Amino acid sequence: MFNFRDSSIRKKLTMIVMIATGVALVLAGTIFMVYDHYTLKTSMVHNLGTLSGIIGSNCTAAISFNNAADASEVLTALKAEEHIIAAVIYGDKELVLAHYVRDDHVDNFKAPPIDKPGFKFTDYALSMYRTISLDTDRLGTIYIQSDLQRLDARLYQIGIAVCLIIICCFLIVFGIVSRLQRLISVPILKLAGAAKVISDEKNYSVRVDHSSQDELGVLVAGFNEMLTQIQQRDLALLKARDELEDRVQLRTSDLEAEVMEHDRAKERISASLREKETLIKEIHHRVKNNLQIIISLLNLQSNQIQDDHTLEMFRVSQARVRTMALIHEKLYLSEDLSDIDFAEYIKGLSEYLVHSFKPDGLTVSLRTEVESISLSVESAVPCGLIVNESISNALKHAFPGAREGTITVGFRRGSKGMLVLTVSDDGVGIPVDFDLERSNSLGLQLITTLTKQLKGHLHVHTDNGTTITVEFTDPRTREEDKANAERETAHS
Amino acid sequence: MTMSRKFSRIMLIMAPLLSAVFPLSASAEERPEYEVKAAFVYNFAKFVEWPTDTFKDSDTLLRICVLGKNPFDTLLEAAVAGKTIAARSVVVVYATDLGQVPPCPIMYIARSEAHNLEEIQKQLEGTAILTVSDIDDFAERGGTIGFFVEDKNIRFKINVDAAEETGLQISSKLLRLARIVE
Repeated sequence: MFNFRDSSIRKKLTMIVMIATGVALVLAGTIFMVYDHYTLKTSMVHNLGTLSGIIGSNCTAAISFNNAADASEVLTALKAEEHIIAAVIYGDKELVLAHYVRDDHVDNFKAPPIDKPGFKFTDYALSMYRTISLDTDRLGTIYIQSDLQRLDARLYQIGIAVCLIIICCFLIVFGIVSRLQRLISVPILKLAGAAKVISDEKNYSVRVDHSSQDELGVLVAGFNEMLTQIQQRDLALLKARDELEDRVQLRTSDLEAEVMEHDRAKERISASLREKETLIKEIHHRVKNNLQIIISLLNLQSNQIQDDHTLEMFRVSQARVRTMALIHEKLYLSEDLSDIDFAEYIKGLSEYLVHSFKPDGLTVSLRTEVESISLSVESAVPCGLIVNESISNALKHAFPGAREGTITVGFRRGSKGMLVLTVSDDGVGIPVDFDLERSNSLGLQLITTLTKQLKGHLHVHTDNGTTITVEFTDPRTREEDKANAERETAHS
Repeated sequence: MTMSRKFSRIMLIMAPLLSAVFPLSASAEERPEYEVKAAFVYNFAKFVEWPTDTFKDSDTLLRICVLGKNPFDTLLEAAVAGKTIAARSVVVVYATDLGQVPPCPIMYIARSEAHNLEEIQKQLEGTAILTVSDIDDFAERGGTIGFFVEDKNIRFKINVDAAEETGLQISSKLLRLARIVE
């Protein structure tokens, strides 16, 4: 089947006009035929009326004098009228006076019963009754029947004529439409062609060549204008892209320069850092060496001392200096120079102290329960000294006359960021009346002072030996806590 | 007996049908002779034109005069009862003597006046009167219309010359039905 929707606009236009024309022509032809048919019927009725009037008038005497022969003779005149099938004259008392039948109907014709004046169309004939009068007398009636051959013939002729006219008009209209439809279809086809070229080739330089003042002209002009704008926009876009690329390139080179600069700066910084580290290490090394020299000086000096008490004081001092020296040694050996692994330091220090100060005949087992905590040098030195004093004290006083003892060194994290340092022994403990504040023992005095320096708290317990506990916060831990607290406030 | 009665009954029903199919069989001879003649006399008036001076505008009657012994009894009066010709009422007058006759355009001359025909015609000469009679050879003898019988049918002859002489114009339709006498 012909698909109207998808067919070309050329075909559509032609089809629309041809359909409209066809419908109009058929309608006009039909109306014309109906009108002609009606007119012919009216004319036939009129003609038959006239004929029956003439025949009736010629029969007046025959009816008046009941002369059937004359009436029949009058009726024979109808032979000249080929379309008349039959005629009947009804005379006095409505009886048939005479009748005429066309030769081809003689066998099957019967005079119909008389009826009122008027006419009637049947399938094959037009019948008419007409009163015959003379002056005021109603003499009788004439019945006359005509065939419809004229009507059929005319219908046939007119039908053929109308068909021929319709076909001719149709062909002429087709010829005209085929030419005139180009007025509309050509610009549209040009537009469609241009659109196809654009969509296939992405070529926006195409233009449609058509100029008129109607809607199609406006459409084509609009289409061309749109293409111009698209081209301009593409150009602008291209330009913007190029500019952007240039800018990106520029910015990239800037950034590269910045990065290089940054790298150089970083290198400089790291170089300077390395320098500083080296310097710090050197300082720590020198401090340690100096302290070592102090220890050696003290050692040399102590060789000349005869008094045991003084010798002891020298030895203690040596141990204190060594404690500090050990810290500096650990520092310049450590990675970051500011923190030291305090656990390792405590272990080393404790073992050295037990080895140096253990009285003869005493077996001391050392237990270290230390967590891996880094300490700054500010805290490490006092802590180391506190451990030094505590262990020395324990070795001197906790185990008088005993053969065995245990010293436990603990270092752990307590609650609220506090660090807890404990040194305990299972020795005899401190006497009950011992006053920590008024003691003239330098060791304990040092512990008290160092605790204050650490801004910590000192507790001394004497249940089953002595336990010295120092609670403090490392400055670094304090700073970290402060930062955490600030963050939390900011969050809330 | 029953058969014949049944047959007559069928015939009674069939009779109108038969008469409709063969209406021409109902001929004039079945009617009384003078009834037909009376009708004819009246009908003649419809196909004849008189000279313009025959009637005055004030005339409202058209008289048919029966001269001599009236053969119609009342049949002619019955035939014209209520009839008009050219808006004039048709009436019948009877006379035995021509002197008694009032002006009338149609005169029926009865057989009783056959012996006196020459005289009557002489008196009527030059007057536009349509003379009708069933006297033998009336038309040949100078009358206008004369009845005769042919094959048991009543027919008529017309003397065209006589009519023309008196200024009467007789319709060709009527002439066609008549036997023309010259």
